[in-house]
Amino acid sequence: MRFPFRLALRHLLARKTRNGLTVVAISVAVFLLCFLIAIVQGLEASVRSASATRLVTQSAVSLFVSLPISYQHKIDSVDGVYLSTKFRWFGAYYQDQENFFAQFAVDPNRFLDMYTKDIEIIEGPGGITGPEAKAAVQKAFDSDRRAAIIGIGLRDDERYGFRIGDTVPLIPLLYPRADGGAWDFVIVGYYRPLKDRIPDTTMYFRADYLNEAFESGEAYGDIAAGVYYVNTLENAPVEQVAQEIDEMFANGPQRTQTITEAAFASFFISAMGNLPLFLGTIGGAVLFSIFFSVVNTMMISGRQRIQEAGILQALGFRPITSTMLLIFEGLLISLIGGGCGIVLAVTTERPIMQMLGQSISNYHITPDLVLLAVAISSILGIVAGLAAGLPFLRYRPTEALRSFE
Amino acid sequence: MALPTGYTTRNLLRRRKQVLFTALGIAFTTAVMCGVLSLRNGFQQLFEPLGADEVAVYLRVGATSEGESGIPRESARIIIKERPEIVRDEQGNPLAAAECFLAMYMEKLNGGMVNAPLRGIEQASLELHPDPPRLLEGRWPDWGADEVVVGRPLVNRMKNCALGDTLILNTTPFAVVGVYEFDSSQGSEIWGPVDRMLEALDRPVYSRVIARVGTDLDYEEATRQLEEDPRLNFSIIRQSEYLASQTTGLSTSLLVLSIFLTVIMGSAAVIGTMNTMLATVSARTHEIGILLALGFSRLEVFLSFLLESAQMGLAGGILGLLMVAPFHGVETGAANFNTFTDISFSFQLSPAIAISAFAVSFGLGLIGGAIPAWVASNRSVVDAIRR
Repeated sequence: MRFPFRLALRHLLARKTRNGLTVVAISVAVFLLCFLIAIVQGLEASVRSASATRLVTQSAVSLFVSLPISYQHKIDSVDGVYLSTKFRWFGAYYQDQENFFAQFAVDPNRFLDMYTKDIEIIEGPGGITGPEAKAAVQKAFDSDRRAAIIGIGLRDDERYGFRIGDTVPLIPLLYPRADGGAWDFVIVGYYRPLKDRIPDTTMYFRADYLNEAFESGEAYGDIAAGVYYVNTLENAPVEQVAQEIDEMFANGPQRTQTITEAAFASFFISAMGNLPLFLGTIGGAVLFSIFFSVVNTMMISGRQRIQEAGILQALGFRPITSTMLLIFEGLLISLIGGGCGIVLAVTTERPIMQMLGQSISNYHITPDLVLLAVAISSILGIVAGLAAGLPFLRYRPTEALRSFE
Repeated sequence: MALPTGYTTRNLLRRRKQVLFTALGIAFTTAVMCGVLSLRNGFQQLFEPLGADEVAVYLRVGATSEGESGIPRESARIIIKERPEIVRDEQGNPLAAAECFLAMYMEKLNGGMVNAPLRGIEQASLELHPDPPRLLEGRWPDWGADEVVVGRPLVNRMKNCALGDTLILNTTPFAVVGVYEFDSSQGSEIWGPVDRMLEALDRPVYSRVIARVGTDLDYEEATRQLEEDPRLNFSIIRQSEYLASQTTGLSTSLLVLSIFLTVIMGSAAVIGTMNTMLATVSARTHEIGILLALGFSRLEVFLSFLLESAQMGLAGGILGLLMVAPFHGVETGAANFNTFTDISFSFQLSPAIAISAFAVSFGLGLIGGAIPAWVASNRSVVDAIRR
């Protein structure tokens, strides 16, 4: 006999409150699951798509130990190195401590030549756009030591709203000025990230602006480079280049450790300690709690339906039909709930991304994640239906007909 | 006359499997809430050392943490020798120490790198705390030698941190000569003589001065005096305040996380409870009719169903607590966002967390049971009894 699809649909509609509530519970839980997974993936996204031909030469001791500027020409002279740039965390804020974004002191013109595949200058001084913008920005960098470029995120964020030509005062946390005031920067261009992992809320400026101020006593800090980003030539043996750089500085003054950009990025995740593990555990608990809520609903349905199972069997359906009915219903409920949860996750993606802000810049509900959510919902529905429906296989029609609840 | 509570309990016991599943939904919610809260509790406990008000920290003006601060050697000596608020020991030596701090790359035993806190200390660092650090194994470092002691939690988490190992700082090997225990956020650090460390790291300046100052110090007055001294560019801050300022990032994140998760998982659990109770009510319609016919008031019927649901919630709360109980005291580590270093701390359940777990689970049961109980108490007697 054919599978009674209409009966299944009728069942679902007959218990609108119960099934509706379950759908809501599942959608909430699937949303939470998507949220947690997207956060963990966001944390890990910085590692993906990191350049394979770019190295980071850093202090072997600590992220907070700066390398001497004298290292740069030695690094440049290593075979296989294309270009290198200083890369130093500045750590200042705009007006209020809450308004914090990343700033890096670099060798801007080298930096822009090294990052052609990662960022694109979309506008330079005087409204120049298109392919000429980059050259215009590089010229502006040469003529003003306060020059800086910002990501479009900083231009569009209403807290900042920086525009080309603006002078932006930033209050230092790490490098105080002798006059106790702010560091001034002049915006000369906007960049747009070409890769996911690169945030659009960063400012890059001239490293020699810092170092000259330290030298003249205008500000307090050590003349240094931070770390060096090193682009290797195509087909150069990356590992050998890294090893050669480290051997040059093995006896100090600062021992270096040169690693790929991907390894450098993955350190920041490893430095989070067990946080990803905590989030994973919570995700597991969420999964279990949805599981129980679906199983519970299906078992309530199942218990109320023993008599019906008897009737179906009396009509000539096999006992498994009743089980299949419950599996089908469970599947439908979890898929509808899961679907709602996915829709919820997708529609809240933007606001959540904004809420998380700088800390996790890669919160995305990816197609893979959606597929995973669908798969989890289906498995849940099937298992719940099975748990509720298996007892039917034990009943004989007479027994089932006699029972009531 | 009131419905006996035994009635509701026996009803729950009759539908064991269904009640268990519903309670499990609530249990997972409570477990997640308690887990996150006890992590936060364990983390915060580290930053609440006893008598912290007797200790003050001097940082460079404008710096908000040791990592940002820099203190020239001469100025540190001036503070330690000359500041009147610093308490002296019986021999007349000031209970004050210059320290340096660096987040250093360390390899974890189970793979991966973290930023471990490295601190250069002086003899006085070991004496100025009201509840001073204790030596568990080995000995304290020789103040002129390249030697370090490590915090107990590091021994089992980091490479090269066991007694007898050698840690290489930049190019200089340091011998691990002792293991210490200190009930504070500084309990999972690596300590060595400050001047040997600065030498090895090729760094010119200290990070902070820390001193015993007595509890009645007028900080405003001390701050004013420091500002007026042209040789110094320092701020003074209570250690308790300083420590509190170092916890905000992770601590707030964990609190927000626990509330967010409790609300979301809780609403799913409430729905589960509601489903179960609605099924119960519909299965017992006949019984409700009889109760009403016997003269029990609608309020009593309402309360009895509400109580039943709340009991189920409470059972979930107990189950949830049992689920997290094994984690109590388990040590873990995470990045402290404010210092960007790895800090070891443990899950710490507390009576307050247990009480909030009971309150939340009871509350979830009440919320989930309210509508079904109202449905039950508003059945018409005749219709109900006929079913």
